[in-house]
Amino acid sequence: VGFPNVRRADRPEEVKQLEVRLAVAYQAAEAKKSTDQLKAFQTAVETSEAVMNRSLGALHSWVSEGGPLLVTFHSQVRSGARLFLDNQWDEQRTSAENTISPGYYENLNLSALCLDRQGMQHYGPYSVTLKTSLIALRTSVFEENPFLFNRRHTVISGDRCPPGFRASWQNRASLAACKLGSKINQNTTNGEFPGILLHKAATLTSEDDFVEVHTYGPLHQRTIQHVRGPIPRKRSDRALWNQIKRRLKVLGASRDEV
Amino acid sequence: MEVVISGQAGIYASVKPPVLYSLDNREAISLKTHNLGLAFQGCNDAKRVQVDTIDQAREVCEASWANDRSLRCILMFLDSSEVADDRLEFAECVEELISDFSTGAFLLNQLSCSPLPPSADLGMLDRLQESCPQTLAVLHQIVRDQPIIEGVSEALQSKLKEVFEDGRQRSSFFELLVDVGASRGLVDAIRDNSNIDMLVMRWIGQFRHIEGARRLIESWTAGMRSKKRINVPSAPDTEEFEDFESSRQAAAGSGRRAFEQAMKQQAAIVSKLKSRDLDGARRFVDDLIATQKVSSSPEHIGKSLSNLSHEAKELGVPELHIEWAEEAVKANPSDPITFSHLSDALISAFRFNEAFAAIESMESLGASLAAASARARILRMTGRFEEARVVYLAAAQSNPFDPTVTYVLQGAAEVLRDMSRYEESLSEYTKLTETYPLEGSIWAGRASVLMDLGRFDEAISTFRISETHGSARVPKNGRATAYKRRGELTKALKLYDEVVREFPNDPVALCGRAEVYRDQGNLDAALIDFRIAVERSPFTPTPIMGLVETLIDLRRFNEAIDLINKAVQQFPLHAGLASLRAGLLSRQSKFEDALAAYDDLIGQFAPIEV
Repeated sequence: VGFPNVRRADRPEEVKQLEVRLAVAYQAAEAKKSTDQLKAFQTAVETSEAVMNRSLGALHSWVSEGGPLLVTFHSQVRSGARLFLDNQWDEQRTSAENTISPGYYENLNLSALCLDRQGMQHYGPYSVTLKTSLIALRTSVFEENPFLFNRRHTVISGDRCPPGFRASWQNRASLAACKLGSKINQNTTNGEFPGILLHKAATLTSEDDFVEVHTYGPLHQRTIQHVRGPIPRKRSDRALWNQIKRRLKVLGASRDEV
Repeated sequence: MEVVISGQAGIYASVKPPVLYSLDNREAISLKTHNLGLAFQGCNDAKRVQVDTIDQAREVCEASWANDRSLRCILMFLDSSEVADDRLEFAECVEELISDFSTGAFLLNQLSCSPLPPSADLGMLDRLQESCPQTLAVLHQIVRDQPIIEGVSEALQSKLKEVFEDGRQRSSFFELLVDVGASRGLVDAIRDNSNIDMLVMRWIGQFRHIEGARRLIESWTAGMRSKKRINVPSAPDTEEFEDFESSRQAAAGSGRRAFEQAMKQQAAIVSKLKSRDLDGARRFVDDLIATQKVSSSPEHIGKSLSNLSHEAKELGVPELHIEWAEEAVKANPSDPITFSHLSDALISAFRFNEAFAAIESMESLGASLAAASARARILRMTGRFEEARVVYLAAAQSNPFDPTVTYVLQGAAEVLRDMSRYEESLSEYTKLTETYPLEGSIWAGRASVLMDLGRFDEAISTFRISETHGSARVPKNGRATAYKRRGELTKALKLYDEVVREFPNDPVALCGRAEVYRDQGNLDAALIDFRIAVERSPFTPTPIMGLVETLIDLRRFNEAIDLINKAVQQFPLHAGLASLRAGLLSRQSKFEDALAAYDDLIGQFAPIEV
């Protein structure tokens, strides 16, 4: 019973191994005299949110869903089916995801665990924070990008993924503490926590690093808590953004223009 | 290079190396390949395309963005839950996008694929009269066609469910059909009471690589085609087409049998055309028409003849191209398409005065765009390039949503080529390929300009794209020519051979092959091919020029001058021949004659009334 990603994260071997990792993280913190900082970090991450980044067009489709006009002429004609059937360019990612979330990866929505609602803007200028209360039960978190994870742990297709690197939403802070404990020392301040939790690449060729949030099933527009994004420059884009703002108001979501 | 684009997101990315670009000029970002997909999350229009440069990718993405925004904005204009001022703002955005990015045809394609839902509010259309005339024209057409759209859409949805069990395949194929404007094509044809057979054949050919596509297209259009099919009581079976009596009996048979028989007849005619058996082809066509007369209307006979005339053109048999076009006009003088084919045939044979009469007839029957295009073509062929371009552009502007406007816009781009304004021509072609990415002839035109500019690699890859969107004849010839001009004669020869095998009368392939022989110093072989081309394309002056030049190479001046004198008489309006003649006279030191010939040449191209 339950959503497959959450069931998997709650398997006893996953939970047990996560506890082992957490204990090791705290032992290491103790040795570095940074236990308090690590605890503070873990506490901060208890309040973290899932943020996904979207383009204006994708956001517009999302907030307009259910409108018969767009459904008839846009969603239907652009169902994404062709993208699925013609996605060789994205095989590396889909193959890695299938290894980490076998049998259900297609039903997962990916976002990043965040403390500052900014997300990863180069994957889409509009950062959408999801309502925790509406996603918590069907959401799990995973250590990092599955492709990098597989490479780091020499997991090849068909292998079992080692346990202890995923958690249910309720245990997200533990996973973050396991993963990022080594980056926290006795001088780390609370203000640095957002950048530690979601590390944006400093150079164009290095990797972004964040705890992946996997939410099972479609995300209704009512899961939107907050949108942060720029005012577009082109007239038709501005018209869409203005409409998005009106819809967000109706949906009870807040927004920031940057 | 391979790129992924999404108009919805306004982003595009090269795949190798993976670099992400955006239309709003954010800094380009190098990504890891495994992260490329993240940038396209939430977009359902991402697609792979082949382009020559990253700038070209940007243009394709921009066109895709404009299409996406046009559709969203026009739908928001129809949304009654929006306030009036916002709806008018959306309409003005659509107007701007139609003007700046020619998104009108895309909108018609999309809006023809499903009926407007009952909640669509048409109450504000009259407020678009002044500020948004192009948007209003699109909406008027869609509103007028609603009953037809409903029928076409219902039939398609039901057949999709029948043929494709997998939902993704179903959706994917539906998207493909919408992209090529299939629903719109049917809606237009039904509204105009036109024959849809050619459309159906085209789609079957286009999607032949997709399992189930043929079955779907045939069953989807069956109800629409059946009205135009022979429908007479039963008759015996027949296998042999040569026997007129048996084919007539087949016509009187079941619809299916009659259809199969007609297919056999057409295949036999094509075979005769390929072998240039003119008498045999005539006999078969006479039989086909006699069969049709048993049960079909003059309208259908006219269309059959028109189609056959077009087939003759494609297979390089100009005599029958003209002859059958004339027969088509006689059979159905009220159809502008028959006149359009006739004018095309006459223009191709440089019989401009006769062509004008056909052009006037088609114009009087309402085909104003085709008429303007034909006039512009004559202006082009007589060297009046500036005027030709003006006529092309004015015609396109007056008929922006006509499905054939692509040919007119292509004509305008070709004129720039004629005037050696290659960069401008390339720029126009690039825009056209973005707006009409499935039109093979436009890709071929773009490739030809690239070849003019000496960009042979890009030309060859662009011809390859063209080959995937239509007949292989032109792009294969194009590739062969590119190889030839790059000095890769073996590759060129191989491709020309392939075309000649498939289209044995094609003068471009024959002359191209002859030119390769010339370059290789094999003048005898060149002479043979040029002679075949002259014989098989008696209304085309290009092979004669090749033949004359080869005779000059062989220093057989007397034969050359005899031939060119006759050719100049036969094609008095062909500047190339006249110029070649003057040059030949000069080369023979016949300076007085050469001067007179140049004077004639200048005189011939004094402005003529069009």
